[in-house]
Amino acid sequence: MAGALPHPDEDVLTAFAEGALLERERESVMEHLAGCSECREILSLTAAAAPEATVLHVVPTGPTQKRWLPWLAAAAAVVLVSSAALIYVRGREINGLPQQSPEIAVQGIGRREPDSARPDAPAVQSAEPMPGLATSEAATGNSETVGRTHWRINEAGHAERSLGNGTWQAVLPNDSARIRVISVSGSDVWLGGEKLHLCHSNDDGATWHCEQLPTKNSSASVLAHIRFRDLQTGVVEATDGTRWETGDGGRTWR
Amino acid sequence: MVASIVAGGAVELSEAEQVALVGNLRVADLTLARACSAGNDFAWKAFLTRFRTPLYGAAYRITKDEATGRELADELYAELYGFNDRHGKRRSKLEYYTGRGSLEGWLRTVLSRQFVNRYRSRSREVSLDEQLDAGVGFAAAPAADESGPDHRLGVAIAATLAELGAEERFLLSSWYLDQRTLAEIGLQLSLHESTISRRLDQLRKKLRKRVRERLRAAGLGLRECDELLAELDVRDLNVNVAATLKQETRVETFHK
Repeated sequence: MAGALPHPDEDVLTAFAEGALLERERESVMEHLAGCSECREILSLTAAAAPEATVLHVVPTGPTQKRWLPWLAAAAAVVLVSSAALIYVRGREINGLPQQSPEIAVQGIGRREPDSARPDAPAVQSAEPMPGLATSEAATGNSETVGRTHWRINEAGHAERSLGNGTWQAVLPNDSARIRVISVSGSDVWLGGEKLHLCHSNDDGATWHCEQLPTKNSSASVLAHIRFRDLQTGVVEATDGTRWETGDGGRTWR
Repeated sequence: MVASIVAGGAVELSEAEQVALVGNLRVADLTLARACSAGNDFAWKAFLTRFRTPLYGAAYRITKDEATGRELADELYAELYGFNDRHGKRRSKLEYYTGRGSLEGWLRTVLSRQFVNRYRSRSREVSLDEQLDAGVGFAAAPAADESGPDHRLGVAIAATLAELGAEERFLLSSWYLDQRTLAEIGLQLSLHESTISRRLDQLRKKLRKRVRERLRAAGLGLRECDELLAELDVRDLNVNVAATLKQETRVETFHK
């Protein structure tokens, strides 16, 4: 029973949460957590208390959107900026409450699943806002509207940035692999995409370092999720669930 | 040597594990923590500059209440600064930080534990009358009917849950017992919520399949299995799911 093992101390729980435990240690802690509601509660509170890194999933512009008139694009941009501003203001007003992701805010589907639906819900991806999600300007804490960096993935799968002047510029060469996910935290920007390509900029997209993640024993080829707890500790995940972790800001991945 | 001390000396580490453990140590954070606990004022100022705001921010996020958050953070703050023991030596809680994770993360975990301990100690003081007023019922456990198919279903479910791996039981406990959201579970495991959703879905299918196999092995026909599983509501069964999920296999421990 859970009482057979003593509770892991704060050091071990922190290292578990940050992915810094040895594999054997992780198994041991997971075994304890599976049976100890108190430690699960502590882990949950700790995770919720962290000022999370930004994970921004941008929906690529689809073919049908090409037909739309240019003014619709401008209107969408206004909505995006308004939503971002709203998120920013809400984030400041409601201290400690999760902020809403820009993708969800724009699409207007950010509703939490009802508790009564829980037993059947796992098959459906939750549309609940992810804590700490925000646009790059919110992440940098800059309330200025002009001059903020915006990010998107265009229909060709290229990452583009805009400095708030309505002009979008690709940040990587055109022959780069298609990008599938952008993660922004302050001036740190991560791009992930096909062929396990991962690019990082620590100066808001001015300069980039790109690499191909080491292959693992899986057919993973497309990076789908990037999440950083802090500037050093992060996880990248492929579409099939294969994961790479770093504890040194992306210098090495395991 | 360092690895053994940090791991608590509870297990023998291989050379590769020692290298990995030492390589992952947060040396800068550890140095700062040690200097603070030794009473170095310059280090304490550096600590305040870096961690005062995150500490109070984390306390507010944990308690979701400004007054309680401040109280919690102040309490920890005093313990971090330290008290003189009866021999006149300063004792700081920072002595317990060993650099396995970030210092900021450690502070959040310490705050969370203090909050949980405080909450639990207060909830233990609730009287029986208050519990009855709150609608908590007390009833004797019903006697198990050990002959019917429901009993076999209960046995099959309990046995299937018991053979799950630790991470699978963690997922089930978090989702069904703790009522955490996909996003919350994802944050705890550093996984995206869609991955948690997918894993839970796979787990449910696996559980269903294994329960069916056990029922078949217990002599139930296909149709009977289908009917039982279709009508299944685990709350009607005499299965203590929480207790079953708590079962642990003895593994070499790193706990101190």
